[in-house]
Amino acid sequence: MLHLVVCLKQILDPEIPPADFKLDPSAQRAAPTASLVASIFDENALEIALQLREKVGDARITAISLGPPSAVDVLRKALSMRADDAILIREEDFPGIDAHGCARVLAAAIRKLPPADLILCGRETGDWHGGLVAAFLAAEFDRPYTNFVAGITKEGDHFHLRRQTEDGWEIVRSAAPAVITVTNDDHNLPRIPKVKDNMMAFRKQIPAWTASDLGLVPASVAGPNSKLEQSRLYVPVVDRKCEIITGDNAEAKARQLVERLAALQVI
Amino acid sequence: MRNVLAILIPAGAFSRTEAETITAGKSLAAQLGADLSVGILGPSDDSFARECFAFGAKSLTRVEGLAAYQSEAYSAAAQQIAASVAADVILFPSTTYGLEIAPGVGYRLGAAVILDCVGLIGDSSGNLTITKPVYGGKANSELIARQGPVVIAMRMRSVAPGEKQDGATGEINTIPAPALSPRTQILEHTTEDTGSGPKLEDARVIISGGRGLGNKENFVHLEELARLLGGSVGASRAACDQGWVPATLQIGQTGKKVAPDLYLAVGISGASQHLVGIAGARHIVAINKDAKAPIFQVAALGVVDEWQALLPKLVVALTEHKARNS
Amino acid sequence: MTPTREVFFNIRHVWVMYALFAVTLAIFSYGFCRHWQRWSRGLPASRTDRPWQRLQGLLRQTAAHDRLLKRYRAAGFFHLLFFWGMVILTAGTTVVFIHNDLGIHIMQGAFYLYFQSLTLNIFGALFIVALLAALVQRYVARPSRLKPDHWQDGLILILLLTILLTGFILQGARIQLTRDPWGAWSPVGNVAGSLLARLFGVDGLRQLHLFTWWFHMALVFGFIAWIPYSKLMHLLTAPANIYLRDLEPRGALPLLDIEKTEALGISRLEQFSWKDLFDLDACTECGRCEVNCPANISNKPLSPKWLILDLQKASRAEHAAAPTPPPNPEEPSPLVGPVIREETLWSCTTCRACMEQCPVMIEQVPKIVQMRRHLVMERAEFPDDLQGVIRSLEARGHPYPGSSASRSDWHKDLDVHVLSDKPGQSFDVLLWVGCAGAMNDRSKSVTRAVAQLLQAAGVRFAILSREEKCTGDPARRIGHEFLFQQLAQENIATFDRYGVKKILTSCPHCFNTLRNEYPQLGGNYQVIHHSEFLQELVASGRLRPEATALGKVVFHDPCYLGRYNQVYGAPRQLLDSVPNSQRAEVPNWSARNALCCGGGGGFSFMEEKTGTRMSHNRSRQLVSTGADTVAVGCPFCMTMLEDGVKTVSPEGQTPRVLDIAEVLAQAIMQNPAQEPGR
Ligand SMILES: Cc1cc2nc3c(=O)[nH]c(=O)nc-3n(C[C@H](O)[C@H](O)[C@H](O)COP(=O)(O)OP(=O)(O)OC[C@H]3O[C@@H](n4cnc5c(N)ncnc54)[C@H](O)[C@@H]3O)c2cc1C
Ligand code: SF4
Ligand code: SF4
Repeated sequence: MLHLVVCLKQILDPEIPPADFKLDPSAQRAAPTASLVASIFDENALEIALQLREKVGDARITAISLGPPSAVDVLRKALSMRADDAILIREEDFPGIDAHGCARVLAAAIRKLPPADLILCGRETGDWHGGLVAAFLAAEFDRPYTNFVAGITKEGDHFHLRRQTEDGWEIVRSAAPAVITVTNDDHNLPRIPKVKDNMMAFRKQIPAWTASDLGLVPASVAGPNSKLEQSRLYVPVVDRKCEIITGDNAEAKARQLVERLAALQVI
Repeated sequence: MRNVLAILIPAGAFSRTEAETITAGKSLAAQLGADLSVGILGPSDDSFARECFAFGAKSLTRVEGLAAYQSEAYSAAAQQIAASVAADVILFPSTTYGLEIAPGVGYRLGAAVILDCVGLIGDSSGNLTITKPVYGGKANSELIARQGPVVIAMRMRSVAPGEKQDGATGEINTIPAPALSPRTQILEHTTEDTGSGPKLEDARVIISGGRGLGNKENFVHLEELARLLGGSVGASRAACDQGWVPATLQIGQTGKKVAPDLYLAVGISGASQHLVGIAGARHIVAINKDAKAPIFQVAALGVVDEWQALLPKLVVALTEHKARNS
Repeated sequence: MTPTREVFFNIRHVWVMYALFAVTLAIFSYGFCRHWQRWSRGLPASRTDRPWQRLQGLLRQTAAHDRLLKRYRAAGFFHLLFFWGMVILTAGTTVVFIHNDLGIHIMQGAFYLYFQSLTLNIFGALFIVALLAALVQRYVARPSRLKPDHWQDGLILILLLTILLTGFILQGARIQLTRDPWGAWSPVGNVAGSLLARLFGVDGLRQLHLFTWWFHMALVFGFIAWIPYSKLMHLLTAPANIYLRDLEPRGALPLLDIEKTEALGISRLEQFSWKDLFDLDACTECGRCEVNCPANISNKPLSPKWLILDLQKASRAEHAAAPTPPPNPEEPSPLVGPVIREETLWSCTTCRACMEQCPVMIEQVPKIVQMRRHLVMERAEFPDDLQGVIRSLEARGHPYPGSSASRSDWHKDLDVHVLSDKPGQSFDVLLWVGCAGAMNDRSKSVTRAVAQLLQAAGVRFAILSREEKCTGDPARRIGHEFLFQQLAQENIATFDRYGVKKILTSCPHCFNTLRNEYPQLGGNYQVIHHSEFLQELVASGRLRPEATALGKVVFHDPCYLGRYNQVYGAPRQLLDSVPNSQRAEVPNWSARNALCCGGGGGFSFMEEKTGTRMSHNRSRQLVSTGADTVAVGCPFCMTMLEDGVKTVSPEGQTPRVLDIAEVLAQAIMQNPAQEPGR
């Protein structure tokens, strides 16, 4: 049986209306002015795990989230999409945790589970866009790491990973166990759960593991990134005036536009 | 004293990506009062080395016997180069491969790792100030790295390649490729057919479509425009997710970062995650039926209309314009 | 001598008739019981409470043909003759039965003369007229709603005509042969008799009478026996269906107990209620539902008539094949897909025109939505466009995927009471803005107009701003009951937190859901549409409209305001209150007969993939009135019709589309900040 572990993070809705986007007065992060959602690439990751399970038949999917109590919503979503198990790790136990710390905590949790054949993460989170945790996890476990995967098949005891590059696609053959990050394409849009699965997810108990459950001393997990000091967090000002082309009809507007483009010397 | 190393992963001849990485490294080294070394992973020729020196490398390390890209081999080689020049600031390109190996290299060197940066300034006491957009480009985070090794990947097209000094030279070292048995292997590489136009990163003109296009077929209108203007077609994530165009055409936070002279956005709302991909564009022009769409806040020219009405007329007007000027 | 007549004149071996009648009854009962058995496969539904109210409605629809006459004057009139002919003649037969078989001699004296002779004669004759009209309608005028013809249609008409004609022959012959002194009280029979006497002579007449009597009886018995096996069934089921109609608020879809229900939505016949199954057999195939159906008019793969008839066919076929219900609910749905196609279900705007037109009050919309529930909740299958909508509703509480608008945008520069800012401050009414009202640019200016009018009238109102979530209407109409209940419960919690009692809204969809559906989940508020609220402000003098350049204005009734909530007057009165305004109506297609703009039931968020555009069809009707202004009262209508009139109007004559609140705002604040529309 394959064991697939998907790591998901709950973040502030990244598609929040610009007008609603505010920084926390302390300016260390954004103010909670929108709903919390699962980071989109993490959902893509879950989706391809589900697709892999459909292909191989015999597989188990565990969803893990390191987050505040509200992150159970993300795990419930994962369960409703039909992940088999979900585990929350209490983020409060690890104040000020950095990317290295995340990887160490997740690794500790994954070690408590049946051996994972594949660990999947989103390519980056939709809030801080770190893009590090998966690679650090691979380093923690010393496993091969492949980024920007959009689809997986199992060929013998290897995975074949369809990975996006600048100009197209590669098939990467990777030994198992492996760690990957997932990017979006039109084949891994997260599915919409059936309502019955939604209800089932609502009823499921989701365990919340603490630092001591994982046998970790919070201070010991921090890595070099925690030494970075965020001196400023600010909303950049865009101050550009857009010239709106007017005209009685589309034809007039088109002519006007061509004239203005010619003046800018771009056509 | 900091030692600055720029790692290059050439995909053929010397390209703008390499020029950007070296330029970023060169100006940082200057601010820190240090010299820039360059490490080249993978095969490269002498003309490649000349270009590196021309853009400001002071020394250069090659790896003997390192074949086509394989993440573990390249990571190990990068680590060896870093050790050989005692680098404590290492720059990687923000390519797929660069982003794949940078974090692992940093992890093993005990370095802080920051990807997707748009600003990098050093001072004489060795402190780095790094600017990284966060929250999908809605905010910027400024980070200070005081001591210890740092691995950085600059966002593509966030650095303008610096002045070239042809004929500049420097020291070239060669180290042997590390021996290891790799656990991954690239079986095949397919280039996505992106039409006849140039690569998005290099295109002077990009005609880009979003969810407003409505379906796959409608992209032919954009292709027609692109052909007329000698440009390429791009897209928003919404359009890629629908499968209207290949995901490789996605522009934005997690797609291509582009820097054309003309970026024509059709039926794209201008979500912050999309805008970060076109921050380097010289002139943004938007066609959108919604006058309040955020794209108009960054556009120089805008037309508030349905593209269905406008594009056919635009094709006619452009064709006439071309006929007049030829 | 007391006026009466001999019952079995000229007839011997009457027992044969009784024997035949017994056989007739047996055949009839067998057929009827089979139907009954089929209906009782459905789930329970309580449709027999409030008998008095039910009876009243039944009488209004049958005795007076209330609905039918509202839209189909001529056809309705003839059908009324038809109906009354049938009723009076059946009553006459019953009188004979009581008189002769029960031995209660009522068929005599003045009653015999006035009722049994004269009245029956007149109605019999009118019945013949109605039958002839029906034949002309079906075979000469041939409206498409009656297509395609079925052999039963003509046969039934001919059969009835023959029964009536032979009846008159019998009567005439008897009058002649018995030298009936009261023959003149049956004028039609009397005339027929004297004509026949001249043709056949006395002996011939006696033979004719004898033959015709048995022929007539055979036809009548055949007719009765045939009822349960033919379209004639609706003679019984139609009135019964009207009696059994839904008395709950029209706008409320059936609540689904998601926790307790095994299979969500309907994918098999036996998951319908018995009343839903009964509906299927009540259909008269008149096609009136189809005539007003925006989907059918625009060539979508949906006809509410065929929806019912296809279900009927399936129900009968399934019963014929397996008289006991097939038990295995795990089997793939035999209904959604094979019988009712997915595209059919996704073509309905839930505009309720079909239900409003149906003379026998068949309920199409709940059936459609319940089958959608199966698709959405059990199979997670729906049109691509709806994926984003559902995701957005789940994550962001609004149905506009990709929108970068904030719910606080529209009131940024207005001084309005946002509840979260000043939770303590009291207010009289909550202005419910709605997703469109807050996030769609065009609708935002309507919301601003409403707010400014309320301020001008000194109404103490408050808003929820960012705390508003979609009411859940789109989710419920597309069949996502679960999502609807989630959203509704969140909103109810918010209302309760702020002690909201009275809610005002400019969106009829929100209005309907808040008013008729939230009570199902324990949210009881006084909910008012802005047309009514503003109309009251004008009536009480708190707002005084002045003349404005409105020109000729036509009001387009929103389905969820009109048909669902019967608010037809307030918006019109509001428009009439503007001095100099001149109001037009779309003839035949207005108020309850209004054609849907095509924006309901999820269509504001989906592309129309087949057929013509629903909004263009409605716009054509509105533009043809020559109106300068099309007044609307719904944000979806606004979007649909603004696009529609632009497309269908002759160059340079595009009417502007304004919400009634914008019209009023123009008439009150003569100098509106910006002129919307045009
Ligand atoms: C972590 C993360 C990373 C992301 N990365 C990217 C990325 O790399 N690139 C990217 O693009 N997005 C990215 N996104 C998604 C981004 O947030 C938006 O969802 C996406 O850019 C929206 O695409 P769009 O503008 O095409 O669609 P929409 O926002 O839906 O806009 C469609 C626009 O079309 C207009 N329109 C509709 N019909 C017509 C018509 N007939 N004529 C003219 N105009 C019309 C509408 O007015 C609207 O403005 C990312 C999101 C997250 C969370
Ligand atoms: S509700 Fe409207 S669209 Fe749906 S079937 Fe009835 S008439 Fe047609
Ligand atoms: S459903 Fe009603 S309106 Fe439609 S054909 Fe049947 S009886 Fe007529």
